[in-house]
Amino acid sequence: MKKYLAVLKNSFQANLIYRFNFFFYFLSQFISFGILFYIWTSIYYQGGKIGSYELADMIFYYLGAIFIGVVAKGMDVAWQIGDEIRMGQLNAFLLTPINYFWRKFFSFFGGMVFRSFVASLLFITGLYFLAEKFNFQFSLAKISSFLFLVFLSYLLNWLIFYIVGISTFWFGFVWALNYSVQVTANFLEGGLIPLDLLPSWLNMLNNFLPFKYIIFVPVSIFTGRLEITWSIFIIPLVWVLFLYLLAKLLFKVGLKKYEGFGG
Amino acid sequence: MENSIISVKNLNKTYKYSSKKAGLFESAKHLFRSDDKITEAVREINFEIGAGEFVGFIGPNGAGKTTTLKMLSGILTPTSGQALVLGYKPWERKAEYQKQFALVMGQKNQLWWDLPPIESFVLHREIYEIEKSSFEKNLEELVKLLKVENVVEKPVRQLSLGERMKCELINALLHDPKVLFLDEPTIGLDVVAQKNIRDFLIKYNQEKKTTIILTSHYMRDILQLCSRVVVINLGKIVYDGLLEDLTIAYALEKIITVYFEREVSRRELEVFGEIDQFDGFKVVIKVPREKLKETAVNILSSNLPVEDIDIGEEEIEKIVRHIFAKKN
Repeated sequence: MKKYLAVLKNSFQANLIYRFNFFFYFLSQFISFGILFYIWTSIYYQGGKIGSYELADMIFYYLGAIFIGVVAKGMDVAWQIGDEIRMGQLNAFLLTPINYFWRKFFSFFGGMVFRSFVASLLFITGLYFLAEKFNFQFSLAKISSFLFLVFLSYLLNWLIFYIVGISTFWFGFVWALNYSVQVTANFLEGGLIPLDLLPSWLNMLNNFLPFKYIIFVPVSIFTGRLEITWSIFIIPLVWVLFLYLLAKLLFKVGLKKYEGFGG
Repeated sequence: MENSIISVKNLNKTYKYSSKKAGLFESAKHLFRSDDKITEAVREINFEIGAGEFVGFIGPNGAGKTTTLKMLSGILTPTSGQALVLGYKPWERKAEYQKQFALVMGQKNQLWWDLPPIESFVLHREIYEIEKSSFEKNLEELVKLLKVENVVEKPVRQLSLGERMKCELINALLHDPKVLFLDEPTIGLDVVAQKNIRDFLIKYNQEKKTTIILTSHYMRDILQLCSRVVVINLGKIVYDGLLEDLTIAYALEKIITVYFEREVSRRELEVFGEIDQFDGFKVVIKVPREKLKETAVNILSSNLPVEDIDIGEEEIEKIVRHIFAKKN
């Protein structure tokens, strides 16, 4: 375990190096939120509802969605892992007494811890200014469930893109696959619009997929639109376990192929 | 061989690769259909290496040197055959084995790019579970030997290639490996850095009795470091024995390249030695090692319109080709 903590420490430090880049990353998220705020305020110009969403519901939805976006999705896992396989850097990991999966996991985790700090600052600031205006109700159960679900959403997103990354073993180069999955996932997660505004057949389909637990479910807990039940924790946990096992299996099979092609 | 640290028996490795002819049309065709072809990278090789030996692997690009090292370090599984290093099958990737060897590749970077090398060293200590006292002792020794005291706290991306290579070596040696694989450790380095690394390796091998396999394109590396060489060509071992025997036979000649300001005739040059290439403005002459100085002086003090002169070693590729031609 100590070795993985050392990986975590180094990745955390490496994240501190490019402060300029980091600053702009957050600026970009801030701008996204500003744009969404502006668009939806214009759409709701005459008041009223879209589905069951009033303007306040909508704004809060995106505040939560952007927070999750930064914490759970602010990295390109598939690109990095795919590149390591494609360029042969994987070799260096194969001969060291460390597990590749966990090494990668902790090396990304450092970045997540770092992003969470700044994201929380922005989130709390946003909440402070907007909570009163939109009559937001705090509750400890709500906040702690939300934070736990955000953690699960990080795991889900990480595992999905780890799998996309290691599919390089078969496809050679997965830039476009990565992009397609990102776009599709963002939609199915509820990153574009809340999922309960989508047609019911799409939501039916979504019930069989892990995506909605990445944005829609945690955010809806935060906004109080979903009840806290056991199933909202258990289903994503089962998905995490399934994806973990799948990732392990695919890596094992893929490695055999990698060796066959010389690496 | 008794007490052999590395023993390789009938080792084979075949790769699949998808071939594509040159050209846009062929590239388009390749999108839909790829021809898998097979290449035999390593064919039926056998050798034994004893404790503390410093062995050079030489051969042209694509000969199978790196593939062999990759199998010995467990990156690749052989198609058939056996290899034991320190009693382990490398490709089982057992942690106990991994803690006893190291592989350094001149063209690959294993240090954390954005952080100073010292951070990677500390990480290495954790990964290899090295005791703090022996880690600190090793680090201090290695840093002193390689003279990188002022380097280890600068971010890797700001280091020169030579400094980085030295830090790569330190990183690889922190866990006191019993076996060390070096794949082109001096590639791309300037002459001084190459020499520093060679001097270090000589000392290290003598003091620690580490078994070392080295591949290099620089004849000088091999000449200074290895007492034994294994020559590989087209996946097969074509020579395995003392370096002396090999060099006496093949590498005794030095190469002098002379550039002229204006055209000269071949006849004017024949007196200096065997002409290898000639085009009027440039000549490549082979001379025996012991006559090098004399010949160079003769050329420079002659009436020829010499613009530049360059002295070098016979390329490894050529030596190997000679050996190969002779065997057939």
